[in-house]
Amino acid sequence: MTIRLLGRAVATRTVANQSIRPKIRHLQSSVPDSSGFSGRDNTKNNTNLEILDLALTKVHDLGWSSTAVSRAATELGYSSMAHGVAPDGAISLISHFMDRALDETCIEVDDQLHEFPDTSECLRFICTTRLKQTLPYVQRWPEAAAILAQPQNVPLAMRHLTNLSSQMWYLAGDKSTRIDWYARRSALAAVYLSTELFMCEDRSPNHQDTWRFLKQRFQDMDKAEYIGSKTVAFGEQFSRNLYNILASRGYVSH
Amino acid sequence: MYSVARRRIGCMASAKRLQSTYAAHNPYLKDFVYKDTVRVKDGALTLSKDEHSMIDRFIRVNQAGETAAVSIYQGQMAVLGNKGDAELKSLLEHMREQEVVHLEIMDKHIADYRVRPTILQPVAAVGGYILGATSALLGVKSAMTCTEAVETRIGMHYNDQLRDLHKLKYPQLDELKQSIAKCRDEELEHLDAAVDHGSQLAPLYKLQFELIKGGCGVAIWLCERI
Repeated sequence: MTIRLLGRAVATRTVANQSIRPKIRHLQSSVPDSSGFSGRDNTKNNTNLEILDLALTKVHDLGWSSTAVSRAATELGYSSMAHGVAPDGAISLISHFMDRALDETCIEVDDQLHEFPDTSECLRFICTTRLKQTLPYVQRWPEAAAILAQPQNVPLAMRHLTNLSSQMWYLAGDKSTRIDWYARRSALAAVYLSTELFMCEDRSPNHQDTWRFLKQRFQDMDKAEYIGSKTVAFGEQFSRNLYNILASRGYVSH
Repeated sequence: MYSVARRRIGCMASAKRLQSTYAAHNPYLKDFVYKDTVRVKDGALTLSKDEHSMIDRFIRVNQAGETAAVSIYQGQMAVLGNKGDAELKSLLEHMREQEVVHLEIMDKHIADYRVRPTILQPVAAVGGYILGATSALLGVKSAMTCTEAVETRIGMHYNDQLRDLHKLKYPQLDELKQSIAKCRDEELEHLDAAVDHGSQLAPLYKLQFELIKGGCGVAIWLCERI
């Protein structure tokens, strides 16, 4: 009861202030934004972050849209025109969500990385943590996936996916410096994407089907890497043997 | 309502621990902030987007270049190593070993700064071998011309990088600057060694020199971007 009265008081005050002076804030000198990666614009500041964060809580009711951003802006006391902080509406909100989710994953995972002796286990844990960031929005996520799949948004979606994949490998301790850098990241991106889409449709208790799916995808990835390395080793041995045979016959100088 | 202030403080603590986990072996990078993690303002190196992309590009192309250098010498040794000239063989071997050390340094930088290696790295390895073998097939002096041209272009390239890096006054970048300077000095030694061994007496010297130098320029341009 008290809270509702307080809420109404705040609302009244907000409306009254709006009628006296506009609350459109100008962008301050750009503070480095909290996640270094952002698809279009790297100069989000605290105001924008506040608005977008509140907008994320409205996604469940209003979906991924500029309506959610406008509503959030209004609730914080800014003009509803401040949805300009998300100039492309839905895609900016989704992009912000992905930045936030990755940041949260890094922070959460940081303490426990040393507990995993095996890189694959560590990577699966990081992947699980990141998927759990999407869980609160899982009912609305198919909408977001559809928006990300639109042709004009595909470059941004790709950038986010490769960034995510790269970041997860770094957290798991990857130090590759050759072409396997690319192989690993594309494999992980495929695993993550398929699991996220599976999670949207998963109705099992506690999402245990999703975690089982993820575990199987990781086993597939490990198997693929094992087969790949064995093939390369076989090729190396074969060519070395061939060279030695030719050298012993005198066809190549040794 | 989401509290940004609380999150920033939490971020600082854990971001510092994150950095120490992965940069523990490099004292100069304890405070380095990776562009994709939470950016920390106080007491840490924060690079602007342009600065970070510049360092990325430099390290990426340096790694590709050193791969190519190693395989150029391998190619030359494969052709010239059996001619019976022990002095030449030991010279080529010595230069190749120095390039291997450079490659290890660049690999370490790639891991430290979380740089994406160029996808053309295997192409650089194979192309370098072919270049070394081809130039060696044309004769010892032509092989030396190839070395001279490559090292001249690499020397220019490293000097340009150092010039741009010295504009950034962060002490955390000192290790990177020192390693590039060391690589540059040794490449110029190779250049002098190649000239001493008669590179400028090769047939069609000017043509070979300019062709290989131009090819190196194109390769550098490609590896920076791809």
